[in-house]
Amino acid sequence: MSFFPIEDPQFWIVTMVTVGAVIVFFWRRKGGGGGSCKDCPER
Amino acid sequence: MDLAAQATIRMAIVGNPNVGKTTLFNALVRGSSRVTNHPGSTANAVEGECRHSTKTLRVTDLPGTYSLQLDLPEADLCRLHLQQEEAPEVLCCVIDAMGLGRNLKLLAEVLAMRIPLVVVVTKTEEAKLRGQRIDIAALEEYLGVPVVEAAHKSMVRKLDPVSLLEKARVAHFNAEDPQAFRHWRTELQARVSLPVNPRRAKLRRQRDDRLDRVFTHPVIGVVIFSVAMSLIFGSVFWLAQTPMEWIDGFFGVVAQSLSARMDQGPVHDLLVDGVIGGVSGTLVFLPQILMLFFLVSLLEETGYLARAAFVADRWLRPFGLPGHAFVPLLSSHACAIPAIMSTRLIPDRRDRIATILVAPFLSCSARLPVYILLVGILFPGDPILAGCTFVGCYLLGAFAAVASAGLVRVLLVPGASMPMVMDLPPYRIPSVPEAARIAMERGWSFLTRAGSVILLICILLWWMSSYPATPESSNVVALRSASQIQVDPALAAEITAQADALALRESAAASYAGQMGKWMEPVLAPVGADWQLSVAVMASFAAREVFVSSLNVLLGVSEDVEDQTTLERVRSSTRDDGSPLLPLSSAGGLLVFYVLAMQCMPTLAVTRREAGGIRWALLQFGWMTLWAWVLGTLTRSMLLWFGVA
Repeated sequence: MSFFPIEDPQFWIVTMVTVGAVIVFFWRRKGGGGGSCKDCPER
Repeated sequence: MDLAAQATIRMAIVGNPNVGKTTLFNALVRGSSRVTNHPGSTANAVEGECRHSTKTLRVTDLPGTYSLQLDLPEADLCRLHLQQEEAPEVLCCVIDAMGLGRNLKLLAEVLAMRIPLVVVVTKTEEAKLRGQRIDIAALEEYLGVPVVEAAHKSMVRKLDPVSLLEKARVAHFNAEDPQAFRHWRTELQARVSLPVNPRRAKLRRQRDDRLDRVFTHPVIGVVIFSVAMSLIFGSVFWLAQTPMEWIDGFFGVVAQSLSARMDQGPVHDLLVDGVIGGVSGTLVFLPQILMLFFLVSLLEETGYLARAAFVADRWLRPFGLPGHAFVPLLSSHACAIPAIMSTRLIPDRRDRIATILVAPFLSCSARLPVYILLVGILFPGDPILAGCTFVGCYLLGAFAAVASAGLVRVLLVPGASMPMVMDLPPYRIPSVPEAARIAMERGWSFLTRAGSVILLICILLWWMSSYPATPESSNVVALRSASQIQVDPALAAEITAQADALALRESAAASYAGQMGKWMEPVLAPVGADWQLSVAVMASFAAREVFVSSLNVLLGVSEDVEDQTTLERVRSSTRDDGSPLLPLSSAGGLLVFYVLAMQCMPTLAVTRREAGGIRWALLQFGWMTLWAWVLGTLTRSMLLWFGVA
């Protein structure tokens, strides 16, 4: 049976880091316009 | 208009294709736009800024055109930019001493605009070798505007934006009607273009012609191109092996020292498996990326790639791709996004749609880490076969692109494609620092991707492969009990490692990522993927190179494998039934799948925008994925049939 170790503070730390990563990922995509390839010079 | 009093000044760089505009633009704004030794690489007006004490100079690099009056997209773009409300206040017209006569039409048009102008004459050194010297003082006197000489590329880079601004003057040009223009052109050429050492120049021309006859030969040209590329890829594998081991070793040491300093727990696992495991899985391929771009840049600098374009044109046209498509298709090897954007320069809409649809078939740099991993599994320790397989991947992508283009032209956008006129650049001795600069630029872009997008995806994937957690199964508990009662410490450690690996696999299988992988497994099983590989394939839809990092995250960096390289780790990993994770047949199937699959969301977004409808993006996705799946399955079946497990 699967579970979330909600009593473990480290679980919350890694979950917050992951949520932060998802927010930054989508925020970058929106701002960058070119998604993951925004580093490519526009030629 | 008093330019000296203005805080912000708009400047535009105009000129014929391949005269050195982008080199000048990069010099002025300290930018890093890619400079090529073939025409047509700038499709849009690229903007940049440079600040100098109290002044800001806003520079625009316009696409190369032979005249503003041509009915071509690049000429339209230049015309619109020069006539818009916020038109440039200063113009910098770059002309190429190698073909002075060809530059004069545009120069005359620019002179007639009555905008402060400075003329930069490039490639005067090369022109001298070809037997022509430009008298800069006479040219300046004749044009009535300042002329700056930049004998070669390194001198263009030394040009100072402020001094160019200060020099700019409005010309008094009065040769606007055709007859006056012809007279003006003839007189200018007679006054400023002086012959130098004609015998030597003739010999050089003869040598170039002889080389062209070989390099642009319909059969020999193709053979030379294939051999050159095979040698490059082979040496990339061979030369990059040792630095790759250093990087792998470095990350192994970092993971080990972190494990020694931290208690076991989710934060430790996130750092070691998610962050270090994920990022190192991609970064380990940095030496190969650097080496490949360095060698290809050297080849391009020689002027050879433009000849390859000429050869390719002959092969592209029967399939309905215009010669104009070659430059976008060539740049698609770096990234399909700028390639699709540069199709704006293709005048005919049907030609443009066909090029957009097939451009992502060509192997982009994001596919490289996946190729390197899978080819490394197929041919360990054999750089020659690995190099040939690499070339095979590129050829398969190119073949798929050309064949698909033929079908698109017959079924969707019928009609003959337009022929291409291309200006072949002269042969040059390649500049090692320039090639190194391009390789470093590419390497930096790769590093920033590994440190941003790939890191973020790895963190998310780690969480999804760790939660929801599952209690240890009876098999794991039994193994742990067995290790505790074992008297031999070595055997006890081995049983513990087995228990850890089993626990990791069970928890990953029950996690969100595992559930998604199992849901996808039936679809990808014919290509050779189990649920773990299916997760990696799905994760790589955000960025292809995430495939390798995902595997690193999913397989975990348990203590017994910390000293293994990424390749060894993947090779020694197993599936749920104990068989190898990536047998040769699966590596082959997945390699073909990755060559052909449309796994790039940003590219689909750009296709939708440039082709003018979501249906084109959906068609591209469906078509490429279908081919990837069919040929991937076929490759694996053939390998199994030939007894390759």
